[in-house]
Amino acid sequence: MYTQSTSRPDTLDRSPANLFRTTEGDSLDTEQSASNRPANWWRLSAEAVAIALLLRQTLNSRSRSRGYLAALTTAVAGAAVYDAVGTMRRRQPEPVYLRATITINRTVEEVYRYWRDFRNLAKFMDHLESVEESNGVSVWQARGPGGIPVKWEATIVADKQNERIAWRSLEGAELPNYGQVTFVQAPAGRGTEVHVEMGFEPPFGPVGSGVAKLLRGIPEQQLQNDLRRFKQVLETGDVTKSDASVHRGPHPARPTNNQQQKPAKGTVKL
Amino acid sequence: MKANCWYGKRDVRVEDVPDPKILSPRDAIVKVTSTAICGSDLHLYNAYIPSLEKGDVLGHEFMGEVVEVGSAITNLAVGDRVVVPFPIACGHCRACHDELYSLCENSNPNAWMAEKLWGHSPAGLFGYSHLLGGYAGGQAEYVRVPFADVGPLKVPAGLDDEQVLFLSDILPTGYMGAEMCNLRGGEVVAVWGAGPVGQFAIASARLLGAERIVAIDRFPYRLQMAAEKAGATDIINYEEADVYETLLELTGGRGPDACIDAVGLESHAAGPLYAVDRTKQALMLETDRPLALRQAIRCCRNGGVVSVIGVYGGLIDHFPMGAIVNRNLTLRAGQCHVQRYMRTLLDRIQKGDLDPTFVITHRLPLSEAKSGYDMFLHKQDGCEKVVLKAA
Ligand SMILES: NC(=O)c1ccc[n+]([C@@H]2O[C@H](COP(=O)([O-])OP(=O)(O)OC[C@H]3O[C@@H](n4cnc5c(N)ncnc54)[C@H](O)[C@@H]3O)[C@@H](O)[C@H]2O)c1
Ligand SMILES: [Zn+2]
Ligand SMILES: [Zn+2]
Repeated sequence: MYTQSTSRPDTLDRSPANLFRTTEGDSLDTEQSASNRPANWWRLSAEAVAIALLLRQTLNSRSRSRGYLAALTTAVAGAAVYDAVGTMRRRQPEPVYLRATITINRTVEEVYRYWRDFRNLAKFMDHLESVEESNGVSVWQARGPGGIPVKWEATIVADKQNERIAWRSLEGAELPNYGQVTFVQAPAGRGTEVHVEMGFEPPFGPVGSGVAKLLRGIPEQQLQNDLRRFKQVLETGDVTKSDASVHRGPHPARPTNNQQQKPAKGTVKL
Repeated sequence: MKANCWYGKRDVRVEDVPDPKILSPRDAIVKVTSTAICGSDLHLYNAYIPSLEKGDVLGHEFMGEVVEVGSAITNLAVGDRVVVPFPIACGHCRACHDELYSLCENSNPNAWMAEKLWGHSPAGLFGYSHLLGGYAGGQAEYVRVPFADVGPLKVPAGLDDEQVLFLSDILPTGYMGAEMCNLRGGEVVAVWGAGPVGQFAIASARLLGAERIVAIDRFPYRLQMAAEKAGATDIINYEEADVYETLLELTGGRGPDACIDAVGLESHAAGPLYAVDRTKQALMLETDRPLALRQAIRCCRNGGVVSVIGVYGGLIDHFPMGAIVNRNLTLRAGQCHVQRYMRTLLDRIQKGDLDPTFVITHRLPLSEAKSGYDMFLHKQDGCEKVVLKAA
């Protein structure tokens, strides 16, 4: 997909092992060989959402758009089944590896600065409740789909100003994980490309069902949507809200008196 | 408040829904005075556009009075009269900087859905499906307007609603349709569809220097309006004459320099081809019926421009790519970047170059939206454009 170019930081080898490398290039031990391609069952969740949505639409609307959606649904379902078959051949449990990218109409300095303050991440990342940082250790609190809380501590393993930040959970985390974000100046004054990679490693032995659920709740599409909100916050000052999108589940495009809305992520002063 | 809500194919209902609230510091709440029914709404009414939910508030052409503003809004004050563009645009993304407002990168909170369907997401639109944002529309007594520091245009005193209402969509859309034709003066332009969008494409082609403008439709009252009010020099009723032959006749065999599709995905035709496409659409072998578009491509002169402002949602069949490549045609298309044209067109209205009120044939209270939709859909009672009065 990408062509290696010298101006890009070392994000191009997308294998999880590479994420544990520091900027200097020495590899941190991850028990994860670069040849072991990351599982993509998370993609199944993203596609499942699309399928569910399309199916619901198909069943709901006694309309001409039914067949149209049926065709779309079949196409999406086909891709999902293909993914699923590919996944089942691999041994379980597999680590989860996600990546997403977006371009933001802001300077590399502005984008880096905002991300580097990890507390800001909770303002646009849907599953993240809060991040606190002191003495180089950050405490992350997230929640799964059933509201299951997950907490871990992490440390920064690489921090190159305006270029790259990498972090990794500390020993004893309920959900060992790592992540890296790189910032690349986009061509022709188009702002900053943000490339995010994250990995989660389900613990060995019987996997705690809470952790498993949480993992299922963070497909790559979710990370992509998080980045889109990151862009909205940096470019417009807030997460974009529509009459339907402020609700957790499906909701018609109309105002509501219902209090069951998503927590208001976003609203920042720039 | 009262709002016109979608409940399924040919089923809209005006019902009570909660009043909108400010959700973001850059929002404003507008009390709607006038709102219109668009050909685009007919695509929703006929359930051709996916991802509507029962209870969605429709409407994307509206204007009214500002009754509340968010804490970050300084350009508008309570009491201002505004017209609101149908694409929602943030004003700060790259697309907005390039004045490509209908491609705003931040205004569709459901961008991922649009990405699955089209590869990338355009802007969010008022009252136009969840794929395009899930925003409540303007066929209502009140609307929440996001990014109110970017879109709404203040209406100067002395202009009444009907003179400026169409700045919200169809006037800029017709204008962009003509602008995409790259007119330098003296051209022959053919316009498929003499609906309100086609009428304004004709009027704009005239403003931009076209010498002959041919209107094509099958409703005599619409063709008459095109000739008498919009400025068409020639008209073709496609049920009475062969469009291709007639256009060649009119242009000494060259074909029109530019062809505008102001029909969109529900195009109709005389003859067996219509039945074929209609059946394919019903069987979902194609989602959109491109009869007018195919014809526009066939008729266009070598090296000419085909400008598509009629809306398409998905896939079409038998697209004449060979004609486009071998005859070096330029194909241009898009939802209108309304914000880009509003001020210029307001000037034109104030100077008297253009009076957009000529398309209005019916005025109804908001409560009668349903009968407005039916009349407009079936082109009954000489219906060209329905304006709903909400206050
Ligand atoms: N691009 C944009 O930003 C934008 C904005 C507004 C509307 N639109 C689209 O413009 C189109 C027209 O809107 P409208 O409000 O004028 O609707 P309308 O239904 O009043 O007009 C459509 C006209 O096309 C005619 N027609 C149908 N088949 C034809 C054919 N084969 N040849 C010639 N004419 C044919 C119909 O008789 C009708 O008069 C719709 O698709 C609408 O969604 C696009
Ligand atoms: Zn419209
Ligand atoms: Zn924008």
